Amino acid sequence: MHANLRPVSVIGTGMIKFGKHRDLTVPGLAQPAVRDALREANLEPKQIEAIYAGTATSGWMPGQRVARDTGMSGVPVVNCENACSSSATAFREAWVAVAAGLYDYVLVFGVEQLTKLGGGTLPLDQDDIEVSNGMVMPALYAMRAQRYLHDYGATERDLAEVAVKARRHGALNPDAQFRTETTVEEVLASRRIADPLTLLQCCPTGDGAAAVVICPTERASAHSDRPVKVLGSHLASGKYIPGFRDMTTPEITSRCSSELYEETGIGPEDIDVLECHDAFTIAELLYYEALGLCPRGEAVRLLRDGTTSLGGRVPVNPSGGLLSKGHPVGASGAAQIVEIVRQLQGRCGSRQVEGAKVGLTHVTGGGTSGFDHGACAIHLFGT
Amino acid sequence: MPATAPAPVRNAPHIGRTLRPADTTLAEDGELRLAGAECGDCGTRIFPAAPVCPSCNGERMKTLPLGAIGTLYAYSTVHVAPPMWQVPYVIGYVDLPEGVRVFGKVAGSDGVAAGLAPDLKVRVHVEADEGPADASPAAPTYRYWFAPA
Repeated sequence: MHANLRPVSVIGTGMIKFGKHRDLTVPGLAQPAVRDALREANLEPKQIEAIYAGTATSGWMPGQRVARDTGMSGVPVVNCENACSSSATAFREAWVAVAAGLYDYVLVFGVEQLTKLGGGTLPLDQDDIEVSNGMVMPALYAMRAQRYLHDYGATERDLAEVAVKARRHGALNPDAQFRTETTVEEVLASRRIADPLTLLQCCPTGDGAAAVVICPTERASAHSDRPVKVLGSHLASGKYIPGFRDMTTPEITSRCSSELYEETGIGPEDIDVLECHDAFTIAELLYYEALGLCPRGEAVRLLRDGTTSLGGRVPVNPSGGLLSKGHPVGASGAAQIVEIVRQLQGRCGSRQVEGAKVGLTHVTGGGTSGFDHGACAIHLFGT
Repeated sequence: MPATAPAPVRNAPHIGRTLRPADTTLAEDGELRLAGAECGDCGTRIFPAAPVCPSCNGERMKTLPLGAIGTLYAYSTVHVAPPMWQVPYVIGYVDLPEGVRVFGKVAGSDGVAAGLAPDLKVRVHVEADEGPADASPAAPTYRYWFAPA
């Protein structure tokens, strides 16, 4: 960690149940999560010195629209759009500001209302040459899946097992969009989206919000009996690589995580629990490898032997992940942080990872030709 | 309105983006081919062409004619897409001998990917479309897609 930065801790968390909330507005989605985070931190709204909001499709000034009705209007507000990494980016910017000594008490939230877009695939920018030739996000992951199956001998059943695990975990999470288990047969028989990916291998359309409050670690114990330290924060953006590249290597995630591990001295072997960007089944397998949980080509083994399931050595996506908890894109980064903080506080009930001391959140996203992805933010937390 | 409205070629299963004339070139055999660009400073090759090199920011970009036969890196049949597209359709990445990877529609029969497989040899088809008859002056546009070689 940079020597001139103050240690920072999370002292409050809040999130609403993800799902289809067509009757709510964007501020209406975010406000309950924000209020819960403030209450948990034992803070009055007037004590919040700055707000960092993350969202991809909520229009102008989402942070101000939420602050207006929650007693926080007037403070500096930064609105962050970074595709699926929007609220993780907001968290990082808030962390930088508190660590640098600019503020003491800062609110971060993420919100998204995807149901107002009408469902289906996310609307991508038609200026992009691939998008204007028919690219949609599920197809990008589908081609990675096809190539991974081809190169490493994995099967469509292996892909389906990722969804089965996600739904098994999500069934234990009251805030998850999907709370029922599924089977390999049901996953494979669901509607085809982009071959080989079927409907239940794709994150659902949904709405949601999540919020956290951070402060300098030296002040944290006055606000929380179980504050959680931010051990590291890293943000990477897409690197344009013209020509041939191995699309089963998530370049931006590999780069972002290895730089974070180097900065913090914490390695994948130290992590007890993690939330990763499983927007599609194949993604979780690729991220096991990119985050260093296993060597190339061995992700299926890790899934099959239970290492990444609840009860295994390093449970991945105990919340149900994007596949089961849901993926209101701009809210996902903050929601992952809420889950990991609560896991490290031992508050997760039947999905609790026993004795978890170090946790990681990973979110990426953004479909643009020539990039693996446009943005990636990874955070490490510890007790 | 003309008696017979032109077919909505943009939505046809095998047709994608309209190319700029500069993205095509006429090969010695009289066939249309795709054209990318090569950086005169660092040698980076790209498609589509751009005035500045994405690797070194150099401005000495030269036209790079691209081969007609490539290797299918990966493909997918898309069943759910925005309303502008007629589903299902097939898309894929094709690696060309010049070291350039091009994304586009893959022509199957009615959007079905029968007979395709990773590493299959495919041909890049480039087609001139004379455009609407009332365009003045008539400006040809170009489209491309891939099909098994």
